[in-house]
Amino acid sequence: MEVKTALIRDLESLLGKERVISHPTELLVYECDGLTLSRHGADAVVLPESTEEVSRIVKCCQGHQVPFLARGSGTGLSGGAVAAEGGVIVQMSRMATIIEIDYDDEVAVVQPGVINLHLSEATRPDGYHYAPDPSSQKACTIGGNVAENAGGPHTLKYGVTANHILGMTVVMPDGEIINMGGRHESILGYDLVGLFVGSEGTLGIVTEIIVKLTRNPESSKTFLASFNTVEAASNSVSSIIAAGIIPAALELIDALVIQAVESHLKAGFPQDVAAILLIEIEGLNATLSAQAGEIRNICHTHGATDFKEAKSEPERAQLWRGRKEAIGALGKVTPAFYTNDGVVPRSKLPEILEFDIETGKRNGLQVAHLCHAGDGNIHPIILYDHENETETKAAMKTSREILQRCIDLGGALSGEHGIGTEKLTSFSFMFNKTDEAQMMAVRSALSPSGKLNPSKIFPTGAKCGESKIRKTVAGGGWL
Amino acid sequence: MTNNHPSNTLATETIKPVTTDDLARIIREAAEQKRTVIAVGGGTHLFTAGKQFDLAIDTTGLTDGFHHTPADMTATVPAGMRLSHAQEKLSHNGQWIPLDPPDRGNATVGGVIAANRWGPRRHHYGTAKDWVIATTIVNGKGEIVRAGANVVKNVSGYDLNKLYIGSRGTVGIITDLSFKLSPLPAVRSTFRACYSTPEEALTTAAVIRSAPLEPESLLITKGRWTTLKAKHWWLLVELAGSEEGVTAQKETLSTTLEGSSANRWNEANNKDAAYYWETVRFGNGEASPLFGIAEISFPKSQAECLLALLIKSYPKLSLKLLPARGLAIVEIEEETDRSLFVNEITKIGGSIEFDCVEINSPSHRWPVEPAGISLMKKLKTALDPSGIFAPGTYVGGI
Ligand SMILES: Cc1cc2nc3c(=O)[nH]c(=O)nc-3n(C[C@H](O)[C@H](O)[C@H](O)COP(=O)(O)OP(=O)(O)OC[C@H]3O[C@@H](n4cnc5c(N)ncnc54)[C@H](O)[C@@H]3O)c2cc1C
Ligand SMILES: Cc1cc2nc3c(=O)[nH]c(=O)nc-3n(C[C@H](O)[C@H](O)[C@H](O)COP(=O)(O)OP(=O)(O)OC[C@H]3O[C@@H](n4cnc5c(N)ncnc54)[C@H](O)[C@@H]3O)c2cc1C
Repeated sequence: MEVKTALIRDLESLLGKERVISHPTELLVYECDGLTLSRHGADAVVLPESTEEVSRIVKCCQGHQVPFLARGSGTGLSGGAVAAEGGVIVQMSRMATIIEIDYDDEVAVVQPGVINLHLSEATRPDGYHYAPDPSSQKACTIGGNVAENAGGPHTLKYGVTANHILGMTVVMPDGEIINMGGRHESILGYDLVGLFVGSEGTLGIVTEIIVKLTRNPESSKTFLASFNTVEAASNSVSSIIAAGIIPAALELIDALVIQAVESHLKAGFPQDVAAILLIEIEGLNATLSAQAGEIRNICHTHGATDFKEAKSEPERAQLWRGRKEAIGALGKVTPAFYTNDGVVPRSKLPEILEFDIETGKRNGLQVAHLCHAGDGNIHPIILYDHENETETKAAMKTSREILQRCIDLGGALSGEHGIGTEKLTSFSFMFNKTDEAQMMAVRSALSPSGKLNPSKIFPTGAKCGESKIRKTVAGGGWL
Repeated sequence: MTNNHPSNTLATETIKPVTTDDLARIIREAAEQKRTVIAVGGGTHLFTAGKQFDLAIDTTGLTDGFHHTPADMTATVPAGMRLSHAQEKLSHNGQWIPLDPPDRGNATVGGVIAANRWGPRRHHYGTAKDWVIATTIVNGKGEIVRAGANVVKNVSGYDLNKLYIGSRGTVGIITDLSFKLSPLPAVRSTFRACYSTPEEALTTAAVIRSAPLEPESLLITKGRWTTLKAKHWWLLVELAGSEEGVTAQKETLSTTLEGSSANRWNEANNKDAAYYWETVRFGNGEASPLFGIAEISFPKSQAECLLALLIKSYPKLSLKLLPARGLAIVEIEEETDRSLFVNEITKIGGSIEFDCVEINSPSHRWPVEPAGISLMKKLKTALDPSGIFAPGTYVGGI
């Protein structure tokens, strides 16, 4: 208690009382991120407004030997932005300015708290956008995207966050301010930017980011293909990729999700089908028709019962709304659900989708699907009743078994949400002790005290405080 | 021991391991005895800072384990395999690793990635950073470590692949790499236009970039990297893709070039196109009075400024420049004082690497240290605690 009081006093003298939150009820909202199953209390939340302030906060935390971490919008799904060992949350929401947009260099310089969509909204009228588009883009921050190397439906064609970050300013765990990369893409020495992107906020706090801006495509087309079996839909995905076609987006939605969407949103998804593919292609006008023809043929070869193009912008928007808000709709048909973001090589998609459903059955649960299919990135949605302890355990077990299967098929644990605290127990499915030690050597080199965002990613030495798992909270409400 | 391999002159001893396990054992022993080690692929892009090493690892024996899964558009390639060989194998299924560094067939996949090399098609495809998805290396303790997986999207642990790309053998020896692949385009077509001034070439490049065109390469060249005796600035454009896509783009591009201030322009036949690109890669064979090469990267908006600066400093320069990527390779007169030039590059926010025969210290090769150099040194120590991998040969003396 003594230590905590002194810490808060020091933080208040740095920032003023109004920018330090330490009242227990006010701290409640910071107990979890989008993964509501796992909760950890912070001692304080601070609201810096500049890089220098972040640096002073970090030094203060180190002086008091308390853990600290950055937080964006808290939409993360792996329990990353929570104070797993207590300590201070550095909330980036007051550093949310688009500092500069420069079309000559085709870059924007932003503070980490800028909401992802805001940057594209600011640049789209001028013919540019920021390509990484997580489904959460209305809410999540670019700082959080950098930490999680976020993807999105259009990742398939344009690449993930890592492919769009040129430089950044980082407050290191000892408070030192370091610039890395710059306004051009060449790398001098080791690729620090590449290393920091996706490091889940464990190597430094990002306070400024230089991102690439992407030119808007000349045109795009959106299609909806229907299938009588999930297998036919996933086989079509594999064949489209195998044919060397890279659509802008290629999403798979199965019957359970379709039913939920249609009874609550009316997106215009066909009923009485086992699965649909939502396909978007972008590029030069001259190439789209031929590409569309090829995709249509592939889908028909695999037994598509219908293949239609969105005829108007409102129709297209309605389809995407169905995709992006599907989760909300699902929430209305099940007490709770849990999901992960395992990845498989794309030819293994049919196999993993079948496995997911079988595994659910074996554990007495239903599994629905909503995947970034073109990337091989699945989101098995495990339906369960959070009031029922046996079902809750069965849901966790199902998820772990699916992740293990992803690894056995040559895949990975996480395509976009990160390991966080959520997948600590699955880490060893993919990495042996030497692999882990190599990563931890990197972390120890840059964060010797280990006080920055501890108990994340690496199972070795993770403490995770006393995780308050609340039975009454429905978990995994997003993807 | 290997004969005639470039590694022979670099070190007291050369070993050519054929398995990763062998290599790991060799490195473990070297670490125990604190013997310095240099990794050698094709030996075409080595920088030793004038040093002699205790041990050279000829990586060209590491050729087992090639695995291509066309349906996933991914492949795992052993580091010692020649890039040209890998590309040839991948082409059987219509795919390739979209990296095209100048290569006469010697460059190894490991060497290309460790040196982060590239070619004209970087315009469209970017760099190794955009294509490498998994790596196996032997680290400085002689441990075999894996990062990434054969999937195209992955946030499982730190992305150490990024750390290995361009690390020039200073943090570990790469034994295999996995790549995301690209489909080989059905058709390619090259256009060339000639301009009297660099501004005109740059202006046209900008018009092309905002037109409905998606070139695979877009490059400005001058001097040795164009046809013999050329005094002019040339714009080279390569279109690629499906038949109908390329046909439509040809029309747009022709109109654009016709409307530009080009002295002349043409669409090349296959033979000429091959010759143009060969010249871009290796030069036109003209005995050049110039010797040193500098690779400069800069904010795109500074291209014109950079060209003016280059012409002023090196009137006889040869150059290849990727306007859409902010990159230039320049051949310069060695005897000139480089420090003034370096200052100017720094002012426009650029970075530079020199490659001249007489350069034998990292601080001459990389005259401007990156801001994060202190972190880089810590990383080097973390992954190579005994400091055996090519010490003193990289940026900042790493
Ligand atoms: C509805 C919904 C849909 C989603 N869809 C997608 C999707 O399509 N693709 C996808 O990739 N993800 C998706 N996500 C997950 C989530 O939105 C992303 O992981 C996002 O990048 C998190 O951003 P955030 O600002 O909310 O970060 P937070 O959740 O606040 O933080 C995430 C991590 O980033 C770290 N961090 C935050 N800011 C900084 C900083 N400035 N410096 C250093 N570290 C920092 C935190 O410490 C934490 O470890 C979705 C989430 C929801 C709720
Ligand atoms: C005539 C000519 C012109 C060229 N022009 C250009 C140009 O304009 N632009 C350009 O980008 N490149 C250029 N290159 C370089 C060319 O692309 C290289 O041949 C190639 O990229 C390096 O491959 P290598 O196998 O020869 O590597 P090496 O030269 O053997 O090694 C390169 C570096 O990587 C390290 N290394 C090698 N193998 C490994 C491994 N397995 N693990 C870890 N480290 C390793 C070495 O220690 C060294 O630091 C040119 C080459 C030639 C011959």
